[in-house]
Amino acid sequence: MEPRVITITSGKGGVGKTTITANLATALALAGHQVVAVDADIGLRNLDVMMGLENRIVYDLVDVAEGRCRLRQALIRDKRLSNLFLLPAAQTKDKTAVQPADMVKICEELRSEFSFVLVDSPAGIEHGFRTALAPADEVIVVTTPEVAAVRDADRVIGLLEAAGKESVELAINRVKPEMVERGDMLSVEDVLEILAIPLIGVIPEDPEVIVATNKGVPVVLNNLSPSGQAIKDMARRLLGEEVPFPTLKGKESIFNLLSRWLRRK
Amino acid sequence: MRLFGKAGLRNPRDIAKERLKLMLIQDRIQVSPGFMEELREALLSSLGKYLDVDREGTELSLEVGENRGKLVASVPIKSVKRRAEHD
Repeated sequence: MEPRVITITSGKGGVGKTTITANLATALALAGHQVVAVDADIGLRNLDVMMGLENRIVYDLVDVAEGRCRLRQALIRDKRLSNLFLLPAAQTKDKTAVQPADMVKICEELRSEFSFVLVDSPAGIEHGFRTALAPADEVIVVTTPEVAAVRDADRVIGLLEAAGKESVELAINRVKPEMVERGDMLSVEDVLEILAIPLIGVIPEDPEVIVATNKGVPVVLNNLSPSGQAIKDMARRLLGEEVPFPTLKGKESIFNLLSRWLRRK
Repeated sequence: MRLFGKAGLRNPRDIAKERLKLMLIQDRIQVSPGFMEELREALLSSLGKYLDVDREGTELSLEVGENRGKLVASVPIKSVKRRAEHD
């Protein structure tokens, strides 16, 4: 299999890019692949925290780009999975410290050692976004079923099309089936109808994510977590498996039960 | 409980969807330079099959109102082309 560079982006901040990157990387590593997660959010690094590796950082992406260390020296091996690595961002530099050409060069080097290179993009559509996008063979756009997030996702999808990226897929995060059922939230179908790109993942709202983040243990390692399961499904789809999207049904309202019962009459 | 609410009142989900659709009409047009020019050309060239129009006097604009987007075209007609009559 050809090595794949996949950038995870969103436009709007706070929709779960970094959580999805950390968990997708972990899920792909659990499936036996050599995986590296690259934190391209320079100045605001978070991926190390999600993966529980914040104490192990010696060198970072900017050190590699500026030639202060070799790429291999900056890679941090995961605590639990020996085939999972992190290339951390710098916390002190600004977003322009790494150029798109640097990122392409670094990812080219990573391709020789890993089958998956996942790049966590910063929010926004400026320099950092363009840098994170430059090496990508595939792009995953993360949104939540909220008006502002979907609007920004649409903008990003337009920019990706303009940049000639052909493989662009959508992950919808923090879906609350009960709210959709009540007519209080956009459904997966609503978002898909509006954005009109292929779906790679639907992740339900899950308090376990907060617990997992607090502990620095990706939620996919918790077998009881529904969001962990959804991200594992996402990883299987990336690997080419056909995994059906579970119909996210919440608790049924009395109205729905009643109307179905009446229709049957 | 919404036993009676479904008929006329729009729920937050529908409102969100409608607002988004309107926002994206404006966003998509604003971010793609030349969109309106291209649309104008396409419109004039297909109208040209039926009408002789005043190209310079043609005005095209997009209006986004409360609940829908509207394309408003004002196309002065110089003459109507003669077509074969059918019974």
